[in-house]
Amino acid sequence: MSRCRTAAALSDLTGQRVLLEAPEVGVLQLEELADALTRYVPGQVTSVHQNFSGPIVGDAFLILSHSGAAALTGLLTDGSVRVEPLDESSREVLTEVGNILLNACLGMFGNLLGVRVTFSVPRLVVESAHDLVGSLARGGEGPRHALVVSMAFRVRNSAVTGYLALVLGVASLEELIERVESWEERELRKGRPS
Amino acid sequence: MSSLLRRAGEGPGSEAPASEVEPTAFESSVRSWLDHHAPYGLLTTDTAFRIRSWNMWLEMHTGRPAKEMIGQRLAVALPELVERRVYRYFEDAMNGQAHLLSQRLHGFLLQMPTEVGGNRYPCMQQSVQIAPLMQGQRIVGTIAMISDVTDRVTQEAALRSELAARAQLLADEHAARTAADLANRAKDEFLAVLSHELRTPLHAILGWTAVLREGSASAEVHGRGLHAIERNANVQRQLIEDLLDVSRIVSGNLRIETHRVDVRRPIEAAVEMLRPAAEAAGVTLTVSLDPELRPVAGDASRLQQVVWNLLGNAVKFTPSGGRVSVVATSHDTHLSLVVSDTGRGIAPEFLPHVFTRFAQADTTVSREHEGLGLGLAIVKTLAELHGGSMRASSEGVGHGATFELTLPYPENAPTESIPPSLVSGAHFALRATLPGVRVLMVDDNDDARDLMTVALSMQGATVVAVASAAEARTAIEHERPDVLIRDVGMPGEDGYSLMEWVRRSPELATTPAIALTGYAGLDAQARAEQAGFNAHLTKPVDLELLAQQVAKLATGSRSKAAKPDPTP
Repeated sequence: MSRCRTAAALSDLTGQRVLLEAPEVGVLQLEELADALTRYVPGQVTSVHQNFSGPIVGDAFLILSHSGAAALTGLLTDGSVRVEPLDESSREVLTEVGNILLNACLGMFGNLLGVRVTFSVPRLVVESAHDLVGSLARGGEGPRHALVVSMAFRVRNSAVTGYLALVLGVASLEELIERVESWEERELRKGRPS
Repeated sequence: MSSLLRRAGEGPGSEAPASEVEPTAFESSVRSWLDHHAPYGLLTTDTAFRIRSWNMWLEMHTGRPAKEMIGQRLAVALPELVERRVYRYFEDAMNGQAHLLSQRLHGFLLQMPTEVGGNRYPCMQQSVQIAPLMQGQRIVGTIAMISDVTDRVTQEAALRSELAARAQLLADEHAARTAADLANRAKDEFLAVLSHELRTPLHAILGWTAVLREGSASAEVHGRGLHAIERNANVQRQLIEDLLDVSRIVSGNLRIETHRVDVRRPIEAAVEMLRPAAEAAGVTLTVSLDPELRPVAGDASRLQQVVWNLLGNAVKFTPSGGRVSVVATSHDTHLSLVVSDTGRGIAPEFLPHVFTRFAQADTTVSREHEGLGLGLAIVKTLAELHGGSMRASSEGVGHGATFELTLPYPENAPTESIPPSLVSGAHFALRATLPGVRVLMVDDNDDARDLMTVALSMQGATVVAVASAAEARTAIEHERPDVLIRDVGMPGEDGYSLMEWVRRSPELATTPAIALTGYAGLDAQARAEQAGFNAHLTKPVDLELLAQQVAKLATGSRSKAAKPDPTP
């Protein structure tokens, strides 16, 4: 539902029909995230980062390869910004797109958990996967995990693949998984014939 | 206040220690700076969306003072936020969400003018952040920060334009390079074809010459050989004339002599020239000329060349048993001449290039038909020089082709008609005889000199042949020829200066002279006339035409000489 709403928000904003697909979800330890990202996204990664706080605390990222970031921006702006290299306007567009996606995703988790989280203003950073993960590790609040969702944006017959990563502490993650499972059970029960 | 400005998500631990700065004084300083000096717009609301701060930057750019704005509900004070569906971002902020509104996707939050680099813009381009305003973990309102990015957007647009222009330049260069490569390739192919086309008739000419020189050929073989030599030499002459025409087209020097032309005559002349070839090829040739055809303003010999080319192509590309038709129709403002055939037709991909110079559908060594691929390019140029046009159509390979020439009728046709001799082409019925005519022949080429001497002697002329201008000066004074024939292009003194010397000499000034030159065209003709030549003939010269000219000039010269001098 959130995916549909996010796609609709992007469609509304850009005037383009945007479809979102999230075919894969995985949970990694933070230490494994850099290597995994390196496998998914070669070279520098372009990330939109927002941290969130409240009953659960963590960091949320939309992660794209450089070429994916350029392609997505080009598709959403109909080629009216310079994407190679990304100029300031392109970076802003990308930040807003990431912002919409992360807000929707974190909002959905907040609803699932029955808690309200607040978000920071989004930032766009271009760096290596190891630097990105390294800056998170420096936060140092015990072992942390990353919930990684691969996403595909489909705009005007083109697809751009990116990754959504939520980095959470163990407690927050466990609670999240528990809530997701009970939500799933409720949904399944709703679907069964009485 | 520090907690109000703290980025959402930063915990209480990041607050400045209370011992460093007195909180109230610190907050007052920050607020004062943000209100009076912040280089961006700062708008805050409380949880009920009532405006709580409206800084000086906003006052300056919107023209609306803080005292008017503060206390009003956001949706009432700024209804455009609701109309433009951006009010929801403030509502989101109350739910804890922070938003970045990019300039590219939103343009602006508040409509206001701005000035950048001395230029005034009616609508400032803005980058906006809208976030929850926090006090500890509690949302106490919303905050919006508005940055003027008009300058940045203008610079980016200029840079994009520059890059697009560079990319276009690069693309143009690439296209030009590709076109040049194609042209070079076409030129190479053309040179290969030219070499073939020039060597083929040479092969026949030299081969037959060797056979005839051997002396044992029968009278029938002898005649066949001479005919083959003549035919192949004419092929070469046509090639050279086509090349010269193309050279004139390229240099913009192809001109026509405009007269009033009954267009039936060049059409009929061309048809008669090609009829034997059509019959020999087993092709049926039909001609239909509208009796309503009216004269056009044009060059009869060039129009004949156009028809000859179209018809020659049609015959060449039509197999035995096929048909070629020539139909001329009169319309109100123009006439159309349609030459169509049932021959091999034209492939659709080649059709757009059919009038392109050096273009031939088949440039392979195994191609079936001769030619340089110049004829149709020349035809098109000639049609355009007459104010007309050419159009080609074909249903494809194997389905024949149609070429249509349209020529406009002039509003005021020139009254002068073209002399019939130019229209009648290569066939001259008159055989001149030159009994007792004294001819001085000047040519540095031994063979040409010998040929002229023999040919004119056979007509009964007395020929003195010399090889240089110096010899010519002596000979002309001694021999007092009836006619001087002079090759123009010679080493040392050229034919023009010799002619000018003759015309300046009181005793020789009236000697008729014919310029014989390898330089063809109107320019060469004009130059010869300017130097004082009475006639200009192009090599290779038609011997009968030469004899005609000599006879005509000799008659005039003698009648002048026979008249008594009226001066005392």
